[in-house]
Amino acid sequence: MRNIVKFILGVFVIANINSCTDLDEELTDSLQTDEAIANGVLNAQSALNASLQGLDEFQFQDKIWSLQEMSSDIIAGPTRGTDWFDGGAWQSMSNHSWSSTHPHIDNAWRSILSGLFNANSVLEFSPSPAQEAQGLFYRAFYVFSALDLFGQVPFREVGSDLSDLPIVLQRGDAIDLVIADLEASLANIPDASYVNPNGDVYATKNAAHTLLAKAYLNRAVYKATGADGSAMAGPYTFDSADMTQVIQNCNAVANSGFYNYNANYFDNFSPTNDTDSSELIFGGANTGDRSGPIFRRWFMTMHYNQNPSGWNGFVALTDLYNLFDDDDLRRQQDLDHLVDNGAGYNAGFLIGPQFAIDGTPIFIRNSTDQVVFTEDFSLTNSAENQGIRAVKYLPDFTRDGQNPANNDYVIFRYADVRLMKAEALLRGGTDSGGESADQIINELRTARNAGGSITGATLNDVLDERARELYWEGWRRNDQIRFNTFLGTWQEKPSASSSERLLFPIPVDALATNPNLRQNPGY
Amino acid sequence: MKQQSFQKFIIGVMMFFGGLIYAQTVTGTVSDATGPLPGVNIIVKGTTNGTQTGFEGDYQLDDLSVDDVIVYSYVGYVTQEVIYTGQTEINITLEEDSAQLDEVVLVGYGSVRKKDATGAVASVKPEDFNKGVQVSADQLIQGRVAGVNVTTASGEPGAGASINIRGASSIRSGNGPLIVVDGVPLSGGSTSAGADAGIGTSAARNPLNFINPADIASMDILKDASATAIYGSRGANGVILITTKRGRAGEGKLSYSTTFATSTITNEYDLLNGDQYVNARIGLDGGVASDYDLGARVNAFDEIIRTGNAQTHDLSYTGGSDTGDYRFALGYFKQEGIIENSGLERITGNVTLNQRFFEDRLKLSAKVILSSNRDNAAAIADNIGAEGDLISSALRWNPTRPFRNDDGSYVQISNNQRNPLALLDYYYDVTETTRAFANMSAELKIVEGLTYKFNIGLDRSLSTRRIGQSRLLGVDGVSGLGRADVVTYESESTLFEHTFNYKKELSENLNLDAVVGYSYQNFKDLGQTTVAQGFAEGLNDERFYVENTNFATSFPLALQDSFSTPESELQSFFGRVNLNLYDKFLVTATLRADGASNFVGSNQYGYFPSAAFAWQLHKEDFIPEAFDDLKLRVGWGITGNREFPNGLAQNQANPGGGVEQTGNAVAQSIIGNPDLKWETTTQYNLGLDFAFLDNRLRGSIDYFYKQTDDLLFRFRTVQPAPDAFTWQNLTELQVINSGVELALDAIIIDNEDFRLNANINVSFLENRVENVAAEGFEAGIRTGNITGQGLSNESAQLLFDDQPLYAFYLPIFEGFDSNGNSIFRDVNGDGVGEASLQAPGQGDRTFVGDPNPDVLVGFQTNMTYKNWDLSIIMNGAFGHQIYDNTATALFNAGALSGGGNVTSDIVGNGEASDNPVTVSTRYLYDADFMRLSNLTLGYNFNPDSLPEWISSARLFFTGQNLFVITGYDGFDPEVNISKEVDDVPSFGIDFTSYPRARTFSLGLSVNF
Repeated sequence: MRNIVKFILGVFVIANINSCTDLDEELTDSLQTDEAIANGVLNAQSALNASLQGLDEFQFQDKIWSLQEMSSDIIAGPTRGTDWFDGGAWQSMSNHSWSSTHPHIDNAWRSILSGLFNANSVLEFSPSPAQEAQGLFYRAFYVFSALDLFGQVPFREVGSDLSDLPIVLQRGDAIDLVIADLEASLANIPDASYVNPNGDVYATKNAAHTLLAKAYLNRAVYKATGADGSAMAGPYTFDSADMTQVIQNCNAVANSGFYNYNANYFDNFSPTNDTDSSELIFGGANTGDRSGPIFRRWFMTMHYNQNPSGWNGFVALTDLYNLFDDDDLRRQQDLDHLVDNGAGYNAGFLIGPQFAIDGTPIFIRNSTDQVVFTEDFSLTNSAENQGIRAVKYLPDFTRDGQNPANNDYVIFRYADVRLMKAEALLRGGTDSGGESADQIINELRTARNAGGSITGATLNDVLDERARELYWEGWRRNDQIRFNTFLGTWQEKPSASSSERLLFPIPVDALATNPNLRQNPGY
Repeated sequence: MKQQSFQKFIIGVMMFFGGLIYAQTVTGTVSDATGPLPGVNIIVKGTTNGTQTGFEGDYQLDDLSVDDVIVYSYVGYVTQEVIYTGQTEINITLEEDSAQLDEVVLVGYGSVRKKDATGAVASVKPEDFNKGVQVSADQLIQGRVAGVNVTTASGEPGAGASINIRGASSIRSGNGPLIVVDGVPLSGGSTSAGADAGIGTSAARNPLNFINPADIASMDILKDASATAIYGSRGANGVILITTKRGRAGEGKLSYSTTFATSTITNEYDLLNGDQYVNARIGLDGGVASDYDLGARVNAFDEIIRTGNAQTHDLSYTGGSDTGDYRFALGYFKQEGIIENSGLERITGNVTLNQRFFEDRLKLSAKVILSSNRDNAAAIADNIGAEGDLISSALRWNPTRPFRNDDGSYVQISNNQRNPLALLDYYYDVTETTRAFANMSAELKIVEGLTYKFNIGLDRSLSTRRIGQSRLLGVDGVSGLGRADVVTYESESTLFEHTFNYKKELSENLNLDAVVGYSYQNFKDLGQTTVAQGFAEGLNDERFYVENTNFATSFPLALQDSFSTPESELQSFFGRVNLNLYDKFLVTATLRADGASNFVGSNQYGYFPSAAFAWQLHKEDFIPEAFDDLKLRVGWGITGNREFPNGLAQNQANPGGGVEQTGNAVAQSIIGNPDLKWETTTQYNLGLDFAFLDNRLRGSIDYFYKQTDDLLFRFRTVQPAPDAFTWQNLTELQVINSGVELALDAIIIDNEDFRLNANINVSFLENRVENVAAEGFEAGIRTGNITGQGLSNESAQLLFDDQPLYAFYLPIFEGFDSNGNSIFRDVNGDGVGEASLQAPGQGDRTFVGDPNPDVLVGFQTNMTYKNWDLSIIMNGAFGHQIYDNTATALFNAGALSGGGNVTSDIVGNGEASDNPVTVSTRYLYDADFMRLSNLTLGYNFNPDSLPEWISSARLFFTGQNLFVITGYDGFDPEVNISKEVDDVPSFGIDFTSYPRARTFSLGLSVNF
């Protein structure tokens, strides 16, 4: 009997140990956000880090970059038999028939606005003056990216609750916020040549000047907005005061003394471009284990049987290829980096028969025919070897050309700044230093061995030079809109588009969750 | 009362020991067909005078008077009554209750006689299990119970399964029932790791693999809410109670059974051979044979399949005394799958001990299950893109291309087109899972009718998956580097439970059976992924890599991972009252309050009530005598669904990054929602049980209606926000399931030499989702990701208003135009048929079917003739569709023109080689099928013909999956590869699934 009592007591003791817990939940594989803030893991610097990491999103071929570049007149993603149809995603980018359910549009929306959130967080977590200035820069950068593509920018004030619905800024107002943030950032932002997260430099004064120049340069476009939010087609009327602002900001960059043209154009895109290049102003830092998917830049265009094996995707349009003089360094160059690593191809455009490093032909898959890249291609049906390819970022062979790679992703470059100045001069801006558009363009053309100088440069010369210099770098749509050619026709885009295509639609999911947004007219 | 009970107790004890012998006494033995039966209850009707049979089935009953009625009863046997006429010895042989009227079904925290059940419940015993080579418990009941649909992911040994009871009710994962093993609810999550080692995501193993089917004594299925509400927040998808075998009192008995099986593939794609391929290329693209013929004649698919085999060995030892019983069992299972390198090896141990103390006032029980599984996997993935996994690489391998170069190395065309033999040779993937499952209980009879039970359950599993890929393998991130992935997965759960059970005859016409309890259970999962890359030239052995990750030159940060889910606690208070009025009205009411750490504040506790009423109509005079049983059941209840991640009510911060990106930047990843509450399912059930012809024809029919509200859904946070998620209860959207279930069981012939019985179950199910657009999803909710070359971001299914879950939303394929391009129906009437995905009503995609069967059928017949027995089991499903992602990705003219092999129907079908690959009804099939799933022929040796040391022996032959009648062209219409989009699960999509085998096995079981 005593045993029974003992047993029963034992049972109740055990029972009481576990009886009636308070059911508090303790997070074990993440940090409670308040805790993360309190112990300093989530702070202004981590938010700056996250803002910088947001640039990874620009490196994907099917997110922001697809909207910025694939919709333009220098690139296409042809369907190749069974490959690259992807539900019509690439075709609809090229022929301007995208809809609000387009996956790249949804990707781009989320990517840019996540970046905006992180930038805002910098301002929230009691930043130092330098951190605050860089946070303002990033906020301006992401707002600019969103307003440029979508015309509307959902926006949260610093410190507002995430469960509150964001307000929505129209692009005409948003561009003024961009300018204000950038002007405010100039006082305390690090004065350095390029980002260096290890040295706590996430953005520089020169990056802020560059973005200011871009903001003023495009302001007329964004101000041309109808009452219903519709984007008006050009030509636009550029305010000469804005153009002078462009010039002043470009001068600030040029006068910083950090930048000059590289002898080798492709040093800007090499695996060690962060140190090789003397032109980089702002970009995504990819280093070792902390890397964005930059490898996609060569995978997306190279043939399957090249080294490294690519996805055999995107092509450069013939008109782009034909814009170059034969000896233009930007068109084709044989580089030691490629030869020494067994690549077998040149940097720049790949056209004609393709060979391996040992001189043997590269074959079409399952065939004995050599891969010969051709000028012609069909957007809806291309063969495996059709279309001109472009290897602009050089594969990082320290990792066999595969992910992750160390090439930094280039966003702002010195040449862009110089060409913006030339454009602003032609659009009525005044340079106190008295430099002319011809001088600026020819300085660049000389550096690139572009074949002769230009006299009496026109806006069209600027647009063409921007194509040659900045192809596939994510600025073509922006340029084409400003120069009023975006709604036109080109290779494999037979019909002109109507003006609603100047903006992308708001993704359906975003409309569903934020009633403050309204769909852009025409979608 | 206490005093009285104690007296009864003392009297009982005295009687038990036979201490007091009066004049009128009877002795005897009770046995069944196989021998003495201990533990049989013997009672004099209308009195408390009773006893139990002892060790050798012997008994002595005293204090009798002539004309007393002695009742002999034992669970599972027909109760016998004998009128005492003054005999001194009465020997009784109890017959097993074939009619199973006294069949007991478990209902959670108790049991009830089937005839007294008020809910929709079913019990499946081993004789009705699917036989042959069965790895996991769910396969045993596939097709056996109305309303229960078990779909194995694929034919892979140990593959996971999706079990749906009365349809899917959630739009997340978590549509599986709660599984309770010997009283311990399982967590419902995985116990092994799925992984993506660069060749796509491969599925986790079936978490039920730890139970040896040979150890299962019964599986009880609770279907309606009145039955499952006692499990509250875990009851919405039904409950399966698995009871493992226990010992049987009597002298120790040793049993051994073994099976040897051989498996072959049942159905293959009709691929081209080398000559056909060359001719097809000429026909498609022109030219001459030498343009296309690479010289060899190979069949790659043949190279990766083989004749599988399996063997099982089960040894058990069971016995017991007057006061207890024990069972020890050891099982060994080894299967080599029909795809090279795939297989499963399992060792299980199962110990059960039951002991009664202090004149049966205290019962202690212990049960331990240990299992060790070793899964060998081939490189097969759910979501591989253009590159191809083992199966897609083999299916599309050019039949004229040699596998090897002249130097003996594998032909690896590019990283985007893989050599299946290299994938076999250079890929190593083994998952080792050890699971310990223990359950101990103490049950104390406090006073007559009142018992207290304390139950502890412990469940812990450790799993490690090791994947090695040789640097010789042409896969991105592997070729020239080599890669080792070591993925661990641990999960644990602890259960404490206190229950009080009270049984009392309140008055002559009112019986009460009540249970109240408290339960606490916690769950925890954690794991880690280590990826090592970069092994030196010369180190080519992929297995070496996983054992020597320290030889690697790099551990890419982006690929390392760890997780440790917040411990999830569930604290519950529950009760059930069963009232029996006039022995014909049965009332059941239950209530469970579940508190979970997943929620905060007032939402922490959810209340899940149910009520049911049954009327035993056959006891009424107005019902004709012909009815042996006629019972009307009505039930209602509210249940919940616990299957969702923890920590969602709190704001969480994590290092950012996906597979391709990582870094140290910490950012908010979950926006906590403190308003989260349980998803609730309200279910109504109306049922009728009936029996005629001396119980030889029995059956039941049930109608149910089930509505799920407040569904939990993962939203992306309203931008601008971190690329994070927030979970919310959907206020508008509902999932509704309704249906009719019919089960019939007939004893057709029953005489000495020949018995024939048959049973059939048929379910008619309907499922739909409502108010998707009203919830804000005007374009619906996408799922059913379709993958392959040129298929990025494609999906085939859409959750939308008034459509079934997982409805197929596709452009309608209408053949090829004169250029050989696909024609799609112009659904929206704008003059062009387009394939692109747009919101319903806008583009040309439309709803064209769904993968949920409208009708499920299961059929079984058993025959015995003298020593022979034969059992046939068939099952089928009708009225649903299946999408063949394999054919979409691989079989079209473009694939042929690109040098891939295709099925013969592509030849000359009018398709041009540049016709883009498009998701459409071209690849949607009716999935109706009827399968002869199981045929077993057995022979029981005459005991006389056996040596003395063998008490019985049986030889049996089983054929599994003997044929399937279906219009589906893929490997098998019963398939479900996970193709989720943004955490919304899919159903009914086939993609390079592991083919299903036909298996023949020969077995022997011997009792010593």
